[in-house]
Amino acid sequence: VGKKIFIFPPNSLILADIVERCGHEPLTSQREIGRLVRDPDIDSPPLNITSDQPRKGLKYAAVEVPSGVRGRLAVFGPLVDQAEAAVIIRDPDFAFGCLGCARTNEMLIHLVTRKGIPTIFLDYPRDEEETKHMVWRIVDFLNGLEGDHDKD
Amino acid sequence: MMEEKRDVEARVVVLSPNSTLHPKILFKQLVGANLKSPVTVKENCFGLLLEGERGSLEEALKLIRKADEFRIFSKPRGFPPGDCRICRADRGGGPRPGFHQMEMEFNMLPAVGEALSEMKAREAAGRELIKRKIPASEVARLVKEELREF
Repeated sequence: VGKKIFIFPPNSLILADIVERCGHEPLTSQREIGRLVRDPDIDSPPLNITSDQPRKGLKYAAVEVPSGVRGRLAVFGPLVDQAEAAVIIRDPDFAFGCLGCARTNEMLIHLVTRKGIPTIFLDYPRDEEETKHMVWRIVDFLNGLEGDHDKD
Repeated sequence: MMEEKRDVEARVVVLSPNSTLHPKILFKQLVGANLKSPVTVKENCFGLLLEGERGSLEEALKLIRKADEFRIFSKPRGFPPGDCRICRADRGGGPRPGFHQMEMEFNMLPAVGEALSEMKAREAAGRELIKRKIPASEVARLVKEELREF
C-alpha cells in the first residue's frame, strides 16, 4: 500500500486517477462527502453539513473566520491531517462549484505547507503540451515518494 | 466501540472522449464478471457509476481498464448511484454537483491518457523520462539560447 496523497482540487478526476495508478491512495473530498451522506443520521440533506461542522472547523481556523470557511474546513481539513504528501495545482479553472470558496482553498494550501509534507506545486495547464508535462511531473514526484518510503 | 461499517463506496468511471469504447461495452464486461462481492453498475453518458465494497470495486476497475488502459479514468464519488438528493429529475433540473469540474477535466483526458501511455512506452524502452538534475551549465546554455531568439 502506498502513501496517502492530498490532492488539490480535492475532487479532481485526473489527479485522483494518476495517484491511484501510481499505487497511492488519493485523499478526495468525495470520500468525506460519501461518509457524511451515508450517515444514518441525516440531519441536513443533501450534504448533511450541520451546525456541528463550523464548530469542528475551529480546529483549523480561528473563531473570527466566517462559518462557511470553517464548515468547509471541517470537511477538507481531515484530509490534510491524514496526508503524507500533496499534489497541488495552482489556480485551477475548475476550482469552483462546491469548491467555490477561495479563502478555504488558500487556507487548505496553507495547512499543507505548514505541515511540511513533501508537496509538488504545479500550474494549471493551458494546452495539451502543458497537460502532458503536468502528468509526467506528478508521476515522477509520486514514484520518488515510493523511493523515500523504501529508504525508511 | 461501534462495529466497523462495511467499506462501501461509489465510483465514477469516465471514458476519454477519444476512446472507441462505449459505456455499454464496459457495462456488459462487468455483468458477466465474477467479483468478490456484488457491485451495483449504472450506465450513463460519460461512462459508468459503480457502487460496492472497495475490494470488489478495485477488481471491477482492473477488469474494465484492460479494454483501454489509458482512456478509462476513475475517481471516488460521494453519493450512491441514483440518489434522489442529487438527481436532476427530483431537484427540478440543472447540473448535478460536480458536473462543471467533470466537464472541464473531460476535455483534458485525451492529453492525460497520451502522456501516461508515452511514459509507459518510454519506461519500457528503459529510458528515463524526466531527468531529476540538470547541470547549471546546461540551464545557462538553454537560457542564452532562448534570449537570443528575442
